[in-house]
Amino acid sequence: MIAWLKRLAAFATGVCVSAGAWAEELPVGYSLYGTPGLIDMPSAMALPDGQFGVTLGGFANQQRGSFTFQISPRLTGTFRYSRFADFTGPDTDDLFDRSFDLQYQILTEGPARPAVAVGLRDFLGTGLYTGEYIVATKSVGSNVRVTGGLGWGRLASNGGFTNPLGLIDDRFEVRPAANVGSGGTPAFEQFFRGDAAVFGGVEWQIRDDVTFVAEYSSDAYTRESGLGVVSQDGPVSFGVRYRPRPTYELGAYLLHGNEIGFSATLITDPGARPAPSGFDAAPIPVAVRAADVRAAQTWDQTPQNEQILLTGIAAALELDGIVIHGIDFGPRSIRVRYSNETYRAEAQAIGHIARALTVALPPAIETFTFEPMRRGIPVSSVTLQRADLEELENTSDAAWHMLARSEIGEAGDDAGFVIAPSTAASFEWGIVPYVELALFDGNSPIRTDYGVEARARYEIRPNIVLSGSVRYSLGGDIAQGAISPSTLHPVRRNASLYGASGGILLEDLALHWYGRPGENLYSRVSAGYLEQMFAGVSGEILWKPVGSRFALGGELSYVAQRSYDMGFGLQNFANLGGSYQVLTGHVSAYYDFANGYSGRVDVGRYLAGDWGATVAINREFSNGWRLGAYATLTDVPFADFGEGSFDKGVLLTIPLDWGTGSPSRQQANVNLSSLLRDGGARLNIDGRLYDTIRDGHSTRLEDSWGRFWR
Amino acid sequence: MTHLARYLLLMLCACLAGCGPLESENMFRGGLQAVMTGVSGSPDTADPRAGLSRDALEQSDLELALFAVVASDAIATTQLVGDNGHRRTWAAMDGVSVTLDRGVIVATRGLGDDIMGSDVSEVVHALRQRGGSATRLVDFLDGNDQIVRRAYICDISAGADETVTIIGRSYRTTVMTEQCRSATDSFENTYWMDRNGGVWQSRQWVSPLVGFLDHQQL
Repeated sequence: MIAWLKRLAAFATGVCVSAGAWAEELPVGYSLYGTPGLIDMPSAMALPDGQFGVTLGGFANQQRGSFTFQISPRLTGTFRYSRFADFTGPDTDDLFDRSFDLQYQILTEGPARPAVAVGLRDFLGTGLYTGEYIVATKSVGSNVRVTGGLGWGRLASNGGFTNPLGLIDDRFEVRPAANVGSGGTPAFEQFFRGDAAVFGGVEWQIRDDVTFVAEYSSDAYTRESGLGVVSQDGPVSFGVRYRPRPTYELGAYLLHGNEIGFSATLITDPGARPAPSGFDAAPIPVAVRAADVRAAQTWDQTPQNEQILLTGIAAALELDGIVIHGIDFGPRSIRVRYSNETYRAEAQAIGHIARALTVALPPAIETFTFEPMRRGIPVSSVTLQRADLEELENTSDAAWHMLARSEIGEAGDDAGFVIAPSTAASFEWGIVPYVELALFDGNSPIRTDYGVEARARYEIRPNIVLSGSVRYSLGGDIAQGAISPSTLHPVRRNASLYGASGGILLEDLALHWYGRPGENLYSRVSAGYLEQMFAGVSGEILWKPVGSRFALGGELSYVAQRSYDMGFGLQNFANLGGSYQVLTGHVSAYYDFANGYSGRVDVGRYLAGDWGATVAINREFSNGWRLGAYATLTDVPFADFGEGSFDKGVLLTIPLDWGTGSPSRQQANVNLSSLLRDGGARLNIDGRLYDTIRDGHSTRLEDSWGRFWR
Repeated sequence: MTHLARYLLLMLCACLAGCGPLESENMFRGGLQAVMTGVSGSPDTADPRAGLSRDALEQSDLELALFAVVASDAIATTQLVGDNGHRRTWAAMDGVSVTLDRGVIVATRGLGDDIMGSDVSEVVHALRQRGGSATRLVDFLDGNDQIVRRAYICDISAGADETVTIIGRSYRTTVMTEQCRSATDSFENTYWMDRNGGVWQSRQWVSPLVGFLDHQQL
């Protein structure tokens, strides 16, 4: 039954989930720039909140790979990697360039008023696409949308006229030359200055799945025309967009009278999981106590009976991917410490254990307390009543009632536990193929490295673990990645030299010790070969009450740069007369806004010895999707930093269970834009405290509590 | 290193998902399969009824039911694994379970778009009254881990009398239909119910992705 349903889910992805809303109104289409818009021109439309589209669009001379995300209901962000063929004239080399766009919808559409948005195109990059605009879009009837706007910069290269903003201040009338420098900084001095030009267009839905688009463009492709690599017959382009499913869109266009363009967009709404509840196997049902035994006040609580119960419960739950560490038995209550290795939502693991306990435990035991463990330390406690499980199972609104009757707090002390044998010192190993990707460098959109990785883990105590991994590379071109120089010590810039010599490479080998040194406190000490490029000692402490949205942490590390051959040695640098050693550390503040956003600020000293701060903002979904952006500013001058001016990036996290439908805690992380450079670089440490513990804390527990009964 | 050596190394890891205890991730593990015994035949195969006889059912102390997804030929024998008041849970070997409240589906697990829980007390009442109207409350789990609660307005009516034969035993039933609608969905369920309110056979709607389930009580 499951296999068949999985196939069905794959076919029906999205169709059933959002067909209703989608079929009735004209969908927001994607332009050749991957943004909501017409063909080259933007529109004032916002995508559905949280939606993202990956677009490949362009024509003979230019192709653009774009990633657009609806960050909030009104704010749209785009990261783009473009190829410019014949960059300096016919038969010259191609150029690859990144760019960022932001668009904010200042007015939503009303019955009479149009939606109005203001946007910045390519506001951080080297400036090839730089332009600003204000645009209005209005629906006419149910299947026509009309757009008109005013553009500046590149968006005023056709039909430009004196900037109307000159009425406010004469300085708006002149657009200063771009001062690109090292790139990567906003060109504030140019925004909305110089000539302006009008653009516009119309979208007409001629069938449920086909939309006709026509636009009048204000982009004359001046640079490209001057070089003779693009020629335009006129400013008008038109074409069709085809969206047979909500999950993808194809476009074909006749551009400015003489050129053919195509686009293809993959559309994902993180909230619309293909199989919403997943194919996770059914839990053990609640075993209901008979009325006469419910009143029991005691049970035969002997060490032998406790051991038998523990063994049975641990064996049953092991099959469910949950490791029971120990149980603290009382006359009317028990406390269970466990590691959930299977379910993304901690509430789902608690629901599974709770139901298994109703089968196993004597009737007198009424109160269950669960203490989820991460990296060997308990991170919280959830207490619920057996009678509530019996009463609420499979009823309407059961999840909400269960949450309302549960208590979430800090984990108790370590005393009183009967320890399961599975927690004895243990050795585990594994061999996996690996693929590493480096995306979007200056000369190639994608570089790879692939081979075999062996990992081993020795668990001395659940919270004291020695772990390591080695790799053997079988091929790839990642080592050829080019990163332009800076004046700083090469703490990250030489990443491509690491492992270039081949052979067996020691990725990491370190001892990790986690602890709970006090109330609301968590600690970590790591020592050894911490990551590919650094070895040393790192200590971290975090203050985070279970119910708090705010957390404060500190990390201090003393590390030395490892040798390029990735053996056990340190790299000798001739200019230093020895190895490179640095004291690095940060104070970090975390805040979970609990409405799908979270943020982090780190202040401290980075690997190159530079002082500064990192600000990170995440958009998070309860189902594990996360899109984060971060920027680091340090005392390194932009010119010394090199290309990009300062460190910044976009990180996308995709939970594996979302697409496969099978329970898993694994996730895929995609780093969309950071260039590995020396300024603002931090240690790559696996298992920092905040992300380790937060899934067990109130906000995340409650966000996914809908899975308690799943 | 020669190409052969590389090839052998890759073969060493031919289990593409990885080998070794650290990499073992069982796709379908679930506690329920562990406690299930005695059900013959694997799911997703030919009609399991072929292997069943009334004699075997009489001699077995297991309570069994058949469930099938109407939109496919998937059919499974299920065993009673949970009994919570009126709500009885039937589970198949592959990790799918269906919970019935006096014959009416109130929950499913493992179908991809599950019913998490329901209040069908008015539906049951109207079925036993041989007609009437009822409100049905159904909880679904959406793709973002949130419970979505839907209310359906249902009309229940009695149709013709039919004799239903299930593995060599016949039941005199009345065909009851339940027509439900909400702002987003509408569906029609059919129950073959005996004089005492026992539902021996039914076709009931679950969710947009799953569609209808057929059910027979063995």
